[in-house]
Amino acid sequence: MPEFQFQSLSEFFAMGGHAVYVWWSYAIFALIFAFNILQPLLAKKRILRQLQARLVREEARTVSGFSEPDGGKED
Amino acid sequence: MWQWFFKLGSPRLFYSMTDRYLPWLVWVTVFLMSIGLIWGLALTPPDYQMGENYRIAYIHVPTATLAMGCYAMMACFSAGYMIWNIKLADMIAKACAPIGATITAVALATGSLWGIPTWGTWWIWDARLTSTLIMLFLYTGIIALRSAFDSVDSGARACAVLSLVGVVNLPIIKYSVEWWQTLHQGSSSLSLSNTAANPPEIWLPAFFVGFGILGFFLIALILRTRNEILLRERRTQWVAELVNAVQRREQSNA
Repeated sequence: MPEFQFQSLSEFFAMGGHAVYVWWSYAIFALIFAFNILQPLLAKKRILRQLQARLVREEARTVSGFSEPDGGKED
Repeated sequence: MWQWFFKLGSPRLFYSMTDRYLPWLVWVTVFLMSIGLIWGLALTPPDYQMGENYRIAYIHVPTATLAMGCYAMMACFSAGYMIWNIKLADMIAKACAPIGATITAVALATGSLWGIPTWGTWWIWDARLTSTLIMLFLYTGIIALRSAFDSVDSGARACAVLSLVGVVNLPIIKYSVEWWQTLHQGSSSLSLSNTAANPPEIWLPAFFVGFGILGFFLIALILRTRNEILLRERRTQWVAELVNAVQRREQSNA
């Protein structure tokens, strides 16, 4: 069974004098991977809002019989 | 006979399949990642030469491998788009580029942070580092190239060609440490085939982190591809129904 390799928690955070390199590596890794997950999630919300607005516009158009000059291409 | 193959290229099918299996993928990834990271950071013995610093390897090696794997994947989907004109293949290839660029950046950054104490320098212009930097430029170039086109199809074709041309860089990265003299160590020290030099307590955590990072990549890729599907299929009936369903759910929650 693997055991904790450090005498104490403070030694764990010190990483044998390599704390700066080890923890910055893991921090950069965590930040960029979090960004890769959060960015598309936020983008999805934005896309759904845009598509909703477009559906409402189209509904209004079919009701009033009005059509956009570009056929609704620019959205 | 090939109908199933083209059915796989249906964006709508991709959307509903990922809807069903994405939560499972998230749980497996979180499980693998938490075990692998705790194991690699705290439970595995330090390296006799590099001490605690080699723990960077647990993220540097899988991210660097995945950066190349992502490029190969992007090129395969680009080829799929060029050969069979499968739109979904282009959407996945488009999603690969920004993720691959950020993963390559992580591989370079963690490599630099590893290099400062072990090599005494954060950067040298050797074959391994330079060819990996070229891969980063290829990724960013592909992103920029796509945004330069107004037409979706022209942009997709141009990016597919550039992706396929850039494949020549992959074997250069892979074999750079064997072909040229370099500070960068070979792949033996964490290779699974060299079990004599690597006891399981070294490579098992790497195995967990490696598959965890692969899971992370797949989640990011699926999320981005789903967004692209919504945008490109916005005129279809099924997307309209989906948007309406989301709106109804929001209204009932409000």
